[in-house]
Amino acid sequence: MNDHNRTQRTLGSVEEGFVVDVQSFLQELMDARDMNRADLARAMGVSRGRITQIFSDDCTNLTIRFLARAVHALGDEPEIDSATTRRMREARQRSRRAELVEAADNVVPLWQDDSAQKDLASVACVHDDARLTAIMRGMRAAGGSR
Amino acid sequence: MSQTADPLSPYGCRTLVEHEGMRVGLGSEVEAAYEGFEQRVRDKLERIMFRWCCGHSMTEEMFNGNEGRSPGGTMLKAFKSFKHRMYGFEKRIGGVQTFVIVDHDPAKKRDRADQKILKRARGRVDAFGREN
Repeated sequence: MNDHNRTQRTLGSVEEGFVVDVQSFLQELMDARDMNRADLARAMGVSRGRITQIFSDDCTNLTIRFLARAVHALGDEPEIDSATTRRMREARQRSRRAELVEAADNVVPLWQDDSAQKDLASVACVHDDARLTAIMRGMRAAGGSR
Repeated sequence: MSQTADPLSPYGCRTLVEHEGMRVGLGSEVEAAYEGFEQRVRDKLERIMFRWCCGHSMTEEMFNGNEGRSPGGTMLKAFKSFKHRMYGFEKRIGGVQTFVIVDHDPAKKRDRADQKILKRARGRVDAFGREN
C-alpha cells in the first residue's frame, strides 16, 4: 500500500501527486464558487482550451503566475506551505508564547500555579492526580518551558 | 502495508490506499494489469485515490462517479489517469467505506470507454455483491 502520509515519497510520486493536488485544489475553489471552466476562462480572459490544458494529465503550461491568476480569479489568494515550514511556524509560535509569558509580570504558567491547577481539575472533572499531571505536562510542552 | 492482515483479503482484494476512514481496494482480477502500469500512472492514480479518501473535489479527468449501473442496480464509478480507467463501486466493508476496483480499461488510443469492458465491469460488480 502506498502511504501518502509519509514525507519520504519517491520524486515521481511527489511530482505527479502535486499535479493532482493543484488540479483538485482549483476544482474545489470552482465548486465553492459554483463556477465551471467556461466561467474561469472568462474570469481570467483566456480561452476555454487554455483552461482544459491545465486540467489535462500532463498539466501543460501551468506556470506559477498562471496558477496565481487562476486562484485570484476564483476569489481567493494562493498560499504555499510544506511540512517543514509548518513545523518552523509552530516552533516560532511556541517561542513567542513563551516570551509573552516570561515578559508578563502578573502571568504564571498554569503548571506552576497550585490554586489554578485545582480550578482546572474541578472544571475538567479530573479527580486523578496522574491524569492531571499528564495534562500539565502536555500544556507545558505546548506553551514552551519556563 | 503493515504487518497486520489486510482486511480486504477475504474479499479477494488488497488495500491500495486508506485514509481518514475511507479506503480503495484493488480486486485480484486487476492486480496483474496494475503491476504492469507505468510508475507515473500508478503515482497519479494513488494520489487521486488518496484525495478521494480525504473527500477533496475530483476533476472530470480524475474521477467519474457515474459510469452507469450494473444489471443489479449498483452504480459503477471510475478513477482515471493517463487514459487508464479503474472501474469499481463503493461498499461498506468492515465499517469502512471502500471503493472496490473490479476492472480496468487501458483505452490507450481513444478517449471513450470500451463498451465490452464496461459491460464486463458491471458484471463483476454484481458478482462481487453475490459472493460477498
